[in-house]
Amino acid sequence: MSEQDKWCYEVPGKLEVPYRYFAGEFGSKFLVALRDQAKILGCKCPKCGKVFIPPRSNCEQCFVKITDWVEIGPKGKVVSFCVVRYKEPYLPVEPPFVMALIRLKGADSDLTHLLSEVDPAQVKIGMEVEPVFSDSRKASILDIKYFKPAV
Amino acid sequence: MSKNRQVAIVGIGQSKHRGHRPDINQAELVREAVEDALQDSGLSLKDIDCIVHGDMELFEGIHQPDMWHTLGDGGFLKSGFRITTGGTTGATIACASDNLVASGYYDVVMAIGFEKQEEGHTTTGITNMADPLWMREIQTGAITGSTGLEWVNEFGERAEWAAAKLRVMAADNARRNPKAHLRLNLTEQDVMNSRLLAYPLRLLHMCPESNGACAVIFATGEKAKKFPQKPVWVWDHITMHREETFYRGGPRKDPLTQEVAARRLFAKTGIKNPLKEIGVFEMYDPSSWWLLDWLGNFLLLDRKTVLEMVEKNEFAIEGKFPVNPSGGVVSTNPIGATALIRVAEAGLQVRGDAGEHQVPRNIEVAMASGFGGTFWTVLMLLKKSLDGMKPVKVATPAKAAKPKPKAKAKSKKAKVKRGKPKMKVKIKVRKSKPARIKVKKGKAKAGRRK
Amino acid sequence: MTEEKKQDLVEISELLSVPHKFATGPTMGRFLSEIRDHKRIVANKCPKCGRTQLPPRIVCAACHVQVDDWIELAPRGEITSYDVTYVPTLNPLTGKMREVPYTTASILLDGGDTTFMHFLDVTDPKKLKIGMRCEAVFAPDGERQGRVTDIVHFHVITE
Repeated sequence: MSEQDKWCYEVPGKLEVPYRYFAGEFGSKFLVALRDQAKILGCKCPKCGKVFIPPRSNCEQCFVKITDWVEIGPKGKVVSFCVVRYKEPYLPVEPPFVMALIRLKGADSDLTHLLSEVDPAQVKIGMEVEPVFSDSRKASILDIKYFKPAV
Repeated sequence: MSKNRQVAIVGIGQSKHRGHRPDINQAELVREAVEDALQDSGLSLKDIDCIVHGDMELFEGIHQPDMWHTLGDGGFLKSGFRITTGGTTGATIACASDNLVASGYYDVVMAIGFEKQEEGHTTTGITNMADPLWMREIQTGAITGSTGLEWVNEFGERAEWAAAKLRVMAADNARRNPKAHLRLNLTEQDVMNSRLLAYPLRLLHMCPESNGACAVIFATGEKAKKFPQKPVWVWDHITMHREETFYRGGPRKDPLTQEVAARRLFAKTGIKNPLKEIGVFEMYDPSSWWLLDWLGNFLLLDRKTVLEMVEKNEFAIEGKFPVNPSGGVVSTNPIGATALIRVAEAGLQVRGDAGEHQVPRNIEVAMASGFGGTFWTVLMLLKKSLDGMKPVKVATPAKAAKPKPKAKAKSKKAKVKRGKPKMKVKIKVRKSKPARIKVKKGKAKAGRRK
Repeated sequence: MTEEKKQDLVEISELLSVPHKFATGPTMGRFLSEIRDHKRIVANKCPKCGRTQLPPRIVCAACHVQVDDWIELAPRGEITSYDVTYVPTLNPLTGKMREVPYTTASILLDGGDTTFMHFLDVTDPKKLKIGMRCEAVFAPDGERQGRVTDIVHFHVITE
């Protein structure tokens, strides 16, 4: 230990701040449809015709306003996935669990969500899945509890 | 040091700054300013080479907001940087954009400053900037009355009236600016009766927490001359930082960055009498007390002179030396955008496009300041014409003509002339760009393989 | 208009709470240890410009040289600036609102020449003046942890 090192130690601390986020008029429509109707809405660019989820009020490629909504899914296909095996305080559920990129029917972008009711070893790209909605919905993306293999 | 190329502001945009915006998310707020700037400039996103995005860390608790905000800032498949330097952010992104264009790296750069302050806790965010082992426990963000205290100790009630008068002036100006957040109808008595935050700093002296965004487009001189909007030339800028363990209070031993920055910038640009040579000053005034205090530091005046000028209303829009015709930071404060709004408003004044809050005379030179962190200062000078500006430095000779020692000697005399053909060469290179964009489009389509 | 008002605007609240460990490094570590172990306030002194730094920093920001010379300062000095704060704000180190009013001050300790900040025990602005003397009040023996709070506050000496 050097002369300098003997002075070094660590002080415990934290960073704690509450935040609130506004979905805005456009984003709220998507979340409210999830909550009230258990429907998944996508939005359609008037220029390139792409259907996006999660919704956005403008197409980042064409940079035009989006106003059209279309119902998409509820079924979709697994585009990619990973199995989460470590524990972190911020993870939504206990590991191991599957996070999947899901291309819902009628959408041109993928939704990241949980995939459950399936052995992680059995998950395959291209697998057909469907959403399981939560019983107590609060206008949050977790109003879709998770996706499961389609029956 | 001099610039390789002249730089001009060719487009200015702002959202409407408000205290409560539940109707839009962050990316949508950014989009409001970007659309406004594009409209003002007459350009389209295709003309923008690079986006410089700035906000204050921890204010909204979003890590790397520039990624999400690509939706609203038009940065899709463009170069981009995120810069976050606290309160100075907006001014720093303006300087960075100036540098990026002047260097020759990009021809057109859009600087975007943003903050949706209602989504987080401003003071907590600022407190987090402090050294966690000492200052974080003790300091309270930017809420401090210590500067006001010095003034009260020196001038008594007269100082309190002056600070209140400056706040009333800001409110009067803000009412003439439809984009301002607080557009209050105030009297000096209202200010002096408002709630104490930290004596003698009161609620109405202090800047609000606003939601807003600002976008300013910077372009090379050559391009600016061809673009539809009147160019506002970026004369020069300076940024100055200091450590956080400086001497506070009493007879100041340590020089303030405001004063040092101003002296150096004036020396660089040859300004001898700022009050005469600068037409309008958009100053970052976190509180009316700091406005009162810093006016002297920036303009190299003693406190008594400043006090008398305030009393004679000389800083009003119609006054001798207009300060913050926009209403300033005490009226509008979306922090990451705040210092860029100073540049934007100074630019509007030079163009003569500030509408109801336009200073009613020709503005040849405008100054904008930024403030943040541990008393950091940024200053930018804008100019209506190129007259009196230093000619651009001749860029390193192009590959074609091998430079002879002769050429070097010539360059000193004919700087501007020699600079011009270089620009043309660069523009030619640019001409290949549309073709490249077409390729990108093709790629995007091909990219949708799945 | 009415239609707009009818629309639900979703607001989502989140608490960011991240545990941290801050390394003192040798310079801050020495400064905090001296307070913890000996109730001594030590500054370091720039070998070039001669100014003291408090809290100490490993380099002098003005001269850009490493600062290795240490001197002990008196635990008392002069108030050069102060703030009586009435607005409660959130302390990110605890996640709790601060109790108001409280007074923070810049203090020039005897023998030093840069100010440093801490709390004062007087919160009535009428009883405070720039230039007043104050003295460090340390946490009791055995309770000091090598943190900024090892000095509870500075006691204002009113004659």
